[in-house]
Amino acid sequence: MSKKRESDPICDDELLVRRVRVERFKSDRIPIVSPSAFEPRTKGDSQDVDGISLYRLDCLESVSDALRTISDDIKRQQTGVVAIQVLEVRSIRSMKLSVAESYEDESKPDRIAGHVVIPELNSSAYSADKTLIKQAMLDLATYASASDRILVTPPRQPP
Amino acid sequence: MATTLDRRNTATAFTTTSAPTTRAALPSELAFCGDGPRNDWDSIIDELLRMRELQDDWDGEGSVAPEKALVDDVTSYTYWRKKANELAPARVVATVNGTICMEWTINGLFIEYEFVEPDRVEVRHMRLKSN
Repeated sequence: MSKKRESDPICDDELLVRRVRVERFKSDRIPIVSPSAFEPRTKGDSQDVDGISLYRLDCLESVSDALRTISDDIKRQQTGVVAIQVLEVRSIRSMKLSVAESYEDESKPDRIAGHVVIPELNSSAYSADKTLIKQAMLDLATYASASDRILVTPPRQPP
Repeated sequence: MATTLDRRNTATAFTTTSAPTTRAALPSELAFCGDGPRNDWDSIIDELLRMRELQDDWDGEGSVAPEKALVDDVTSYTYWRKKANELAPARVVATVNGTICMEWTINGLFIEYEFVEPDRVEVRHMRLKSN
């Protein structure tokens, strides 16, 4: 994996990774990844006020780094990782999307390098125009469902 | 395209096999004739039963769990649709915001039913790929 620094510009050909729960994968369906994998959180203590989170793959030591902040072992094992190219995010037609740096404080012990957000997919925008954002979520899920974009598929979890 | 169906006047449809009055408003493409390995309502019901046990932070990322009343409501609705031999969704998922989504893909069209509260569902039809 070619390592980049967070200060390096975000290029169109870079891959961004997103954590996706096991229930949102279904290999015999189209798209394999549910659009709900890209839904901004509007409730609870972890709302996506600044947009949904992704990580720059080139800033990670390994793909599994993206899962590090899920502290519960079982929940972490039930989470996969998918990738989307920056250009794909920027070229979605249903709405104008961008990728913005959102690097975490370096003093944070469980910090993951290369954190970015899609600012347009934030909690307020989702509440204001859910239908528009749902189309963008579907487009992102379609890209993330390509066989070479599913980087970690978790095993089906026990009930 | 999104349509909100308010089914407060048809609540019995969730607990009985009688057709709700909103049945006519449901997409005709979901009126499924025949059965087969892909019409897997049982796995949908299994997933809903599992969903009923979820608690807040069920994903380790702070997501809220769906209310049990909502899960029960969707489960009853699912039994009714199964009995009517309609096309099973490809997937049912709990969203990060405590709602429940059923998804179908039919002829390049992605159809989503989002159950947002008991007796209330938002229906969306989207092109599978707009790019």
